[in-house]
Amino acid sequence: MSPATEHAPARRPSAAGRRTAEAGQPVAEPRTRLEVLDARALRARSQRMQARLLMAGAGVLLAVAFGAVALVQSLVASEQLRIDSTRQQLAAAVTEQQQLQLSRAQLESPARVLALAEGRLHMVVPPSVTYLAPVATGPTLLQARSGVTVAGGSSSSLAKSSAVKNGSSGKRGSR
Amino acid sequence: MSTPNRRPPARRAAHERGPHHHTRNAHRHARTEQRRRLHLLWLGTVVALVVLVARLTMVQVLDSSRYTAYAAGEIQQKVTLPATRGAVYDRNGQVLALSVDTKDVVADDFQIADPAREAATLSRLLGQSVSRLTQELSQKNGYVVLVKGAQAALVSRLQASSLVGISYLPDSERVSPDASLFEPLLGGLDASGSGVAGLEELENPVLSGTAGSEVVAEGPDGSALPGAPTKVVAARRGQSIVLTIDQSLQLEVTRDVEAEMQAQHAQSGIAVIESVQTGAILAMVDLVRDAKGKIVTPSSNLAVTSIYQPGSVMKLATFSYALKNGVITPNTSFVVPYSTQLGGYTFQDSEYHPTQTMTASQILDQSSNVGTIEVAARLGMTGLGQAFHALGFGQATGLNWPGESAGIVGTSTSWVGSDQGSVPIGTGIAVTPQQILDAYTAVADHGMLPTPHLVQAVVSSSASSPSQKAVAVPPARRALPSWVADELVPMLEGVVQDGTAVCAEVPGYAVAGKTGTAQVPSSTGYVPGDFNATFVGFVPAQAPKLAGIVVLNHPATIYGGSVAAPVFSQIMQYALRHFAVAPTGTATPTPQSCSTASGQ
Repeated sequence: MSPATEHAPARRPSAAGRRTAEAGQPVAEPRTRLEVLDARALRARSQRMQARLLMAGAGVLLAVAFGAVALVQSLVASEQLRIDSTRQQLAAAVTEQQQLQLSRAQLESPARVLALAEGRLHMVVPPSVTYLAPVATGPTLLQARSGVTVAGGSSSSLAKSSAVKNGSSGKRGSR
Repeated sequence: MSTPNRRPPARRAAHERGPHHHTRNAHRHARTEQRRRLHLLWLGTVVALVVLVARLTMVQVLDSSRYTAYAAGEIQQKVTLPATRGAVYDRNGQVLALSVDTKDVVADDFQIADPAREAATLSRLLGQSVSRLTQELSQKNGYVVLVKGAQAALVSRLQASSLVGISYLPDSERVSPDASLFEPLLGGLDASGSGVAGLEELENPVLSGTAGSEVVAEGPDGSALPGAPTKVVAARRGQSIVLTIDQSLQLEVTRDVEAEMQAQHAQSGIAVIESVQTGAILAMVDLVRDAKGKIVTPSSNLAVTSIYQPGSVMKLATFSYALKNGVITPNTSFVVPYSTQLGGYTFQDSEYHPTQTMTASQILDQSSNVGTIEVAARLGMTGLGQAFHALGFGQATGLNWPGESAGIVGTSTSWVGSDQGSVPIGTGIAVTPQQILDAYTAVADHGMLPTPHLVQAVVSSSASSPSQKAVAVPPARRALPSWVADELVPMLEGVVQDGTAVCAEVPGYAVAGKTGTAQVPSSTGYVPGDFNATFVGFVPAQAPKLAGIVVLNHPATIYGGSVAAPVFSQIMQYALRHFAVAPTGTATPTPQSCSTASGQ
């Protein structure tokens, strides 16, 4: 769509010029050909240049944008992988914690402890229990040191205790 | 430089214009035509673009969800994430039941090109036969469960072997370290993991939690696509519960009841120990004999689901309302013959005695049936009905146990003829052991009938900051005036000191309680030789801390005072030490006094 003026054929050298060349005279430098450009053509050229620059810029921007998107996607993917891995570790840890809790419960089971105590360690349940009951008839240590005598008690006796002996628990055979 | 003349040439006549004029016209025409075509092309392009954009809008905006769903459906699977069920602890934090996460190993046999080769690999890992695995992997049904409830270690080994078409579905397993001790209490779960019996059913809303879901992207071979976007709705873990049960006491009670069942060849044994002040159940034991005669735990909690004819332990109701209504005092005298006729039936005491004068206390001590019938005659059947109702018989205990029985006691209007003799002495009616225990606990607690309960706290499901919240228990209600309860205590103490329950004595402690012996009824009448023996009581009598009941069915020695009372004594000796209850200094019983007892 260029105007015809832009691509006009170069003019041939003039007759005088041709004659000079033929006579062996030094040839003058060819003059820069000038074109007559109208303002519209100049404006169009400028617009084309701007459009090319714009397109190039847009292309660069697009490439950068695509690159950025790809980078973000790869980051998201790698982070997702990390999250997946952490979640798997968490699930494994929870399961292990449950197993350990169960093992502990099994080890602490009174039935197991009793069986081990009786079977392996040969321990026995005491046949009777002795309860100790304090007797309030003797003087206190302070009273004994100060020589105070309590009625019914001796100053030398600090305290007495009596054991309430429980009877044999062999009831099972006595029903 | 010359400036081109931009003025248009003067219009000349057509004949003056010459052939150049025609050429220019043709060019102009061609240019116009070209421009028109270009406009048409632009227009067409724009229309095409508009149509394209419109279609894009429809696909990408208006119908985007539909197309997204189509696309996602090709690769995405929605997987249910089961909520981990809450644990069950005893009052000291010991684990009674726990859920452990497991996996179900499932094969998609459509994806397995060489079943025999895959079966050979699986056989080494699973310990199953190659032929069976090969057969299962050749069914072509797309879903073959190879292992249910696989532990983490096995799953890791399977995953490491990179098998094709094998997936792992989340599941969980309910484990009870002491299942034999707690089965009737804890109950069980169905295949979906929901409670169907016992505490698992009672507390299912608390324990079960909320299932979550996860949308995962899978490749054509069923493997999860790494890094693919997933939509996770996290499962909410169920809350844990803390029971009032004491694991050690439960073991001791189980051992004692089991030993007595062995010694007495009893068919079943039930024992419940309860805190007098709170109504908290500390131990609850049910044992039965299976078809082979082995003592095992039943599937249901017999202490609250089974009813039986209790016998003399029900005399408490008769005496309590006779005292309350002022028709007797502990010292009121009665002339008591050995037997009496009522409604065409003969009622008699367990051992022959001549007609004698007995006080109300002595009637209770010796568990005289005839004397009790005389007391009931003074009270009247309406008063007896009121006593049953006040003490909680014929009603649910408040435990809300699945399948709990309210008992069969009838009303004063439904009692006719011989019922006037049988009901006051605890025959012709049926109650649960728990109801009897609650009635005696009410006497121990100055007339306040407790609400028995098994759950004392709920532990929040938050893993980061677990917190324990006490469960609100309905307050005890007044069943008897406190003065009536306080008058009954020494009477019941006399039963143990001088009456039918000397074998219930606990060295160092004062015990109050009552024996019960009753025949087992059937559709054709009483079963000869089949008795239920019961002892129920509380200790220490003057400041009660613990109440308990022991029931044995079909023991060799039939009397509650000889069979159930010693078990009560043995259990309480342990329980009082275990809960550090100070002795009250009561004299030690002699073995002879226990051996001669024949408590009814």
